[in-house]
Amino acid sequence: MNAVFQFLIDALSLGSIYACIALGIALIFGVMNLVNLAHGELIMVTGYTLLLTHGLPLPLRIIIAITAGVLAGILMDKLAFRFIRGAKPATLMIVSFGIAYLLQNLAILFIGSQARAVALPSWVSARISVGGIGVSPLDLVTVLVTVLLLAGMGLVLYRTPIGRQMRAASEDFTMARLVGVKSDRVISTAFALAGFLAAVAGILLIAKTGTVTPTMGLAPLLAGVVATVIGGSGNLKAAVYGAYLFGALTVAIQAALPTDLVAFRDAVAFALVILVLIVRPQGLFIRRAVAERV
Amino acid sequence: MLEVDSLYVAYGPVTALRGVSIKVEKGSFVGVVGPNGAGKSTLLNTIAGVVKPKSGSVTLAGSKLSGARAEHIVGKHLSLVPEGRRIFGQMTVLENLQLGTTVRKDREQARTHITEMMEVFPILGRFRDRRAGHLSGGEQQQLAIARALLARPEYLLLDEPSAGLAPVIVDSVFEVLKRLHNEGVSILLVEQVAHRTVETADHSYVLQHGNIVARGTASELLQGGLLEAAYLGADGAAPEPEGAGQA
Repeated sequence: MNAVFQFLIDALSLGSIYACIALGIALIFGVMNLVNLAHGELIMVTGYTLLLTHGLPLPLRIIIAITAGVLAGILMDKLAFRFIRGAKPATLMIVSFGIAYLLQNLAILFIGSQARAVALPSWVSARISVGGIGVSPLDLVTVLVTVLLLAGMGLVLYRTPIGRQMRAASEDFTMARLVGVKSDRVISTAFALAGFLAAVAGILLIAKTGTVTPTMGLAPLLAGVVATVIGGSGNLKAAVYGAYLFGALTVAIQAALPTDLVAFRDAVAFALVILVLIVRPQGLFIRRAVAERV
Repeated sequence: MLEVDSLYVAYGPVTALRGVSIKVEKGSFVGVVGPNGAGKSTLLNTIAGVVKPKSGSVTLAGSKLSGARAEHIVGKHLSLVPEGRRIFGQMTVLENLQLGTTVRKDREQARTHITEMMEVFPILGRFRDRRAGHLSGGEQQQLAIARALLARPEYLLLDEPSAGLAPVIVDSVFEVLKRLHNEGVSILLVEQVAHRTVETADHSYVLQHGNIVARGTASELLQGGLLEAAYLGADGAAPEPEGAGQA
């Protein structure tokens, strides 16, 4: 019972972080047809902001770090992608790779390539007892924060005109423009939301690891892309479902593998992902298109 | 008046339109017919701002549209119902209709207009909370037309609205178009169903290989054999009307 509860908490916690990252990736992919390889650097920017604001009260640091993530997302669009609107997906992806590499190197140049410890309150690494079962408060906070965040994103996407326009653009960008959806506004909003989600995910990840490095965004980016693909590219809900599934899969493999094979956890997880994609290349949570009925 | 003048459009090395000129007078019903690959969809997509022309111009009531973005053109009271309906299948019928009002500032009136549209097309009212992708082809076509109308267009462009529909549904689509025309909406209809389009429109153009090869009223095109000649192809055999391409 204890093990099952622990598995659930771990899976939900990891899946929640992946969900924030995957939703941001899916938002950008939906409106721009871009797999943004610089998405991980939004996490990195957030991380270094948290590091550099050391000394300020934690809530203020968190607000500043999230603001930095959002601004980084918006600037990414305004300074780079805005000039190559309509370019081929491969071109967009290569540009995003360039941005990622540039930001990593800027971090190395100005702060250094070594991992830096981020000072956080002691409760972050504590364990508490819930009904006799020991859990990490950080895991509970992670699940709570991300569930609230995803619910908020759901409200924005499903209950506001800009959210409706983003979903329309995500489904058929040209048609969305034909009904009057302003492409630049929708793309900027998508980058801002992706920055926000990445920033929250980044803060939660740093709370778990306690360190920041210039390449800290790479592993979360990979997990987010995989979650988006196994859920179903171009569908926001599917990306979130894919993230929780991939989170659960990762935790389950870690628990099932013998100790000396735990290092190969990601290899096993990705092998399973490849199998999934061979069976369902469109993703697990995408139903066959129904729009082309006669 | 909507005026297309000497429009050249190319996709890389392939030229889709070669100096096409057409006019749509306010309140008129204009048809454009032609075989597959004639450039009909390219013509509409260029007018609507989806495709950029190589040269030539599109003007609406004297103001230049060519070069403007699609999202701005729809705000100038010109809406396109594209080929294949292009409804947002994962969204509900109501959300599709709400998106049709995106360019409108009069939010309250827009909401009333949506309700009215669901009365004009009762099936949309009945299925308002259903996913649009679950509607039948004919229902989706009604939704696509209703969505376009919610932008309050003075000019409605339709790209093969009968494609893939059962004959009885095609009848109802043409009935809707006639009704809209009678209500004062200017219509530019692109179709492969040539005879029906020519007979319904006030004036039609025949497009072939990116050129206007014939134009006229139904009687001029049908009795003169211009339509058949254009469709049967005979490059150069189709009678070139005087002033064709300069409308």
